[in-house]
Amino acid sequence: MGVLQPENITVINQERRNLTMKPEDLWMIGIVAFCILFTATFGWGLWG
Amino acid sequence: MSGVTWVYIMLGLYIVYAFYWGIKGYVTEKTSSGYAIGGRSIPFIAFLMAATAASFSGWTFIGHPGLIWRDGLAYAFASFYVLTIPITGAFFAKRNWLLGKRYGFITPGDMYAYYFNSEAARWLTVLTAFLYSMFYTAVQLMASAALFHWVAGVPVIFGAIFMAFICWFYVCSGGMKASAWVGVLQFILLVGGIIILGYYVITSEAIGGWKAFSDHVNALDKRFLDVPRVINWGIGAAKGEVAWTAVMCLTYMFALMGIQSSPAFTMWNFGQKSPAPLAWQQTFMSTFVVGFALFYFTAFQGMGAKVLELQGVLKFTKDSDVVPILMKTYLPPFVLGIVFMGAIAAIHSTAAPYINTGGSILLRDVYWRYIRKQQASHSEQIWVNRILATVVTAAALIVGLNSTAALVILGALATAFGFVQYIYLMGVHWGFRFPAVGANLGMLAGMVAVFLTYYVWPNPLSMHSAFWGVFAAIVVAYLCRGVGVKDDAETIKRQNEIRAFLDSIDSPTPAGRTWRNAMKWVVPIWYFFAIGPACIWGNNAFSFAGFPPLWSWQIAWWILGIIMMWALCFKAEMSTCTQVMLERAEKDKMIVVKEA
Repeated sequence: MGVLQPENITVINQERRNLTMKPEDLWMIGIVAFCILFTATFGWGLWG
Repeated sequence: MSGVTWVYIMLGLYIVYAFYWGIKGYVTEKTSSGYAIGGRSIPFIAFLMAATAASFSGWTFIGHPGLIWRDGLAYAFASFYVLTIPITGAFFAKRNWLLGKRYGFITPGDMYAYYFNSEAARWLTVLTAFLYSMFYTAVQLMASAALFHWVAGVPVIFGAIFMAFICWFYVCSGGMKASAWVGVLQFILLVGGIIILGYYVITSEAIGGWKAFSDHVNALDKRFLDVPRVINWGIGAAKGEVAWTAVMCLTYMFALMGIQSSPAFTMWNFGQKSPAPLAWQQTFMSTFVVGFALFYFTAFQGMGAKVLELQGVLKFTKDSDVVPILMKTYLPPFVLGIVFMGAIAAIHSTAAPYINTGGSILLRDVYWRYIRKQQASHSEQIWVNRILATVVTAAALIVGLNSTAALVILGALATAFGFVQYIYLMGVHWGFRFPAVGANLGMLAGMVAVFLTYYVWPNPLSMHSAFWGVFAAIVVAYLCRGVGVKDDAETIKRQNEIRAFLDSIDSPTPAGRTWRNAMKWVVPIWYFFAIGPACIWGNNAFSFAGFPPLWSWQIAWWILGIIMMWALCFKAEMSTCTQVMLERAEKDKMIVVKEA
């Protein structure tokens, strides 16, 4: 493997940025996880 | 200190906050559009929270748990309006903003009259706005008076006038921006109040926590746990059953979709600084935050009231008594003050925008255009706007105090009329092709159909009047096209120019287009299963964590609904904007409406 040139690193970083999740994606995942866990707390007996 | 003392302390603090924004707006708003639509500068956070609060009225706070108590979990499908109200925004709100910015529209009547080149469209919108504002505000004010009476013993007439005065003062002095900033606090109080009351009910000694509550609920009569049938082939509900057939659940949601297509909300879209908050408001604030409060905590209140009633602990005579009695029975004094303000905030957050926009629409579309022939100064417009907003408030109070029996009917008619406005919005924003005459006759036919199917033959095939209204509107609009009615050259030229503008500024990216194509299937499928005919399977499909099957069905489809709204609003780019779009919207102007 050759040494990465700066311009290639820029391309890789650009691609990585494109793959990075946006804030709304993270919010959606977090919220759905919260909803599932919150519902589960009733089954776990946390509400008496 | 007693609960009533805390109620007055909280009310005092709320009045100080609301009046501060009213007086601030009085000092700063100096132009007609500044007063009427906040100078198109309502900021991100204010719109995010205030628009959500405005969407969910005091009826959500007080009426919703009461109807769950009365009709059971079948009625709890109404909680899906946390999604169906903002989905209208996903269809139209961004384009409302874009067109308002480019053409200088201040009222929805300006937009429809310009696009269809027809003043009839303006007048039909004024009629809708006035009826909507007056009746919906009347419902809100009377609800606040009833609650004030229950909690603090204040006579209903005095309570109604006092609550109307608070709302009237900050709206009339400060205009739309004051209404938006007060809405921020109202949103927090509204959601917080619902959650707190639900929590106190479920953890009360009489109920004894979730396990005991779940056992009681699962043992209830099937009438309170099931959707009775898919459809009733007759007028209204089948004998001995609740009204909530699967198709009634679906079409009732259509009625509530009319909230964000109403003239008031279209004006709110004109008032936004940018469309940036739309996707966040629709997906997260409305569908998630309010959904969280409704799917769990209002259901705790409603089903909890049923359990307490069957145990002989509490007695309710009508659905509107449920929340006030739960509040008085289970909340400690300080918390009672907080939750009372939550209810009042919910009521005012809806009444205020309708008073504000009702006055502004009467001012711009009637007084300024027809009486003053577009020759009034900013100052004159603001003061006449205040007078007209006062007229709307007074009319709402008079209607509310004199015809209580008809109020529920009139309030529901209002949202159904709002849904009929889809006919104009579909034409303006998405280019549905019917002539202007068809759009106007369709709107008129829709309003008549709503009235007939609500009042004369209620709910044919157990479907809500909102469905019949839009059905009639679309049939009439396309019939006009079918029989060869055509628009003149000027109208076609205007419409083509608007189409070209929207296509150039709001076309989705290739990825967005792919998502949109997928959503054309996903959204109808979600509707069909979550709240449509297939929701009858929820009676026995699955159950988790102690929730009865129908409640489990509702929670599961609500969570899937959050994902759907995220995909629709963000990924399909229905409610997002780009920097290029915002820059173009600032520069690419073609003002067709004179302001003063």
